[in-house]
Amino acid sequence: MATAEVLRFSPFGPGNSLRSYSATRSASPLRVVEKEMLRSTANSQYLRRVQRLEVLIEQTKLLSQIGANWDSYGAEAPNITSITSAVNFLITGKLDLLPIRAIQSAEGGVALSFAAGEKRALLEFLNSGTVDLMLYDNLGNLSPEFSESDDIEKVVSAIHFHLTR
Amino acid sequence: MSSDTLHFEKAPIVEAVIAIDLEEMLGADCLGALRELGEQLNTSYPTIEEIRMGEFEFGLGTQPKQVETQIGYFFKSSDGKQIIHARRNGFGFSRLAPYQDWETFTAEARRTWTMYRKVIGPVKLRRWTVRYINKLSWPAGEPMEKYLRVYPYIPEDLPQELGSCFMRLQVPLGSPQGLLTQQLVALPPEQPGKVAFLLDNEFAFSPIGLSDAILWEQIDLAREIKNRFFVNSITDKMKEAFS
Repeated sequence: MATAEVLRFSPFGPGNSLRSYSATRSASPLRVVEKEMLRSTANSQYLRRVQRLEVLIEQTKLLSQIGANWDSYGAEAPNITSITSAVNFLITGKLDLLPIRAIQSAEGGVALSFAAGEKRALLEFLNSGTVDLMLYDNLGNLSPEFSESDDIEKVVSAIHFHLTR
Repeated sequence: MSSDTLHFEKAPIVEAVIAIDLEEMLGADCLGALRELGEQLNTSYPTIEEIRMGEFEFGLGTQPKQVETQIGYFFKSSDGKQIIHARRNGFGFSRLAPYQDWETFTAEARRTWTMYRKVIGPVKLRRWTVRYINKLSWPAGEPMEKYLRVYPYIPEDLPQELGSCFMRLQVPLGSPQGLLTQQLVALPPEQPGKVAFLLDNEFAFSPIGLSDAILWEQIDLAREIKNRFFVNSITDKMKEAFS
């Protein structure tokens, strides 16, 4: 009974009867669901972010398929330590700004690159377990706050300060 | 505590949205008017991003072609917590965490909607929505019913562990007539030993025949409705976590 009531209800459609609902919607119910889901995500900044984050996490995990010497200059492939660290960093959502991409690092590990206007940041989770950070801009200026650290909180503050000041 | 003035110290709201959709997609020439709106809002919303919509065109004997159209702009506050969605087919105002209160939220939505309305000229409205997305978290392994009153029920004779969860309900609303779309979605765990879920409640109503002044009175009525659905969707145990 409850289900029939729900089906009958169509507040903004052309009619309220079950027949008119079926005539307008049943031709492609999956498309209706798909359209609703897309609209649902498009309307929400938070869900867009979650969706983008999921893509970045998948991209990072896929880096495990890269072999050694991928750049033909002898670069190491990202190992489980660097991939896990990068994925954990993304999951904990420490930064409001999401990386634009996750790629393999020539230093051996995973690199997350950030951009805001002309400002850029490259955060590298290395296979050794340490973290490298490079802050620069599009004009080629390298910021003095270049650091190698395993204190992720400090690194996050540095990125935030560089990208937002 | 009345559901009309519900307030939690650590509100689990990750995003609140008021959106007003137009009856039709306006022509691309209205992007100029929306840019003008961006200039008016520049002091408080300095970041501008284009909103684009992708569509596939299918033809017999030809490869599908992807067409991307610009449908508007996002105007973002400098801290990124408030976002105006100025679209050719509607308006939206988002507030991300930390959420302050209904009065502050709706006042800014109404102020910016009035500015949007001025630049796009007379238009017919199709629907308006109030949406609250909440992130709820509790210790892993605890039964959902300890924290939620709306949840997927799995018969006891079957395994109780969930690999993932996406539950979507649509509930007709009486007065004013509308529709609640409620989604319960499992998130990847953010903290060890905890599970996290999104409880996403979107209340949609028809604005047909309403003047702008009445429209905002109606939006104010949604406050009690969204509070009632939220407090009744969670248990007292869950409320303790953010009180």
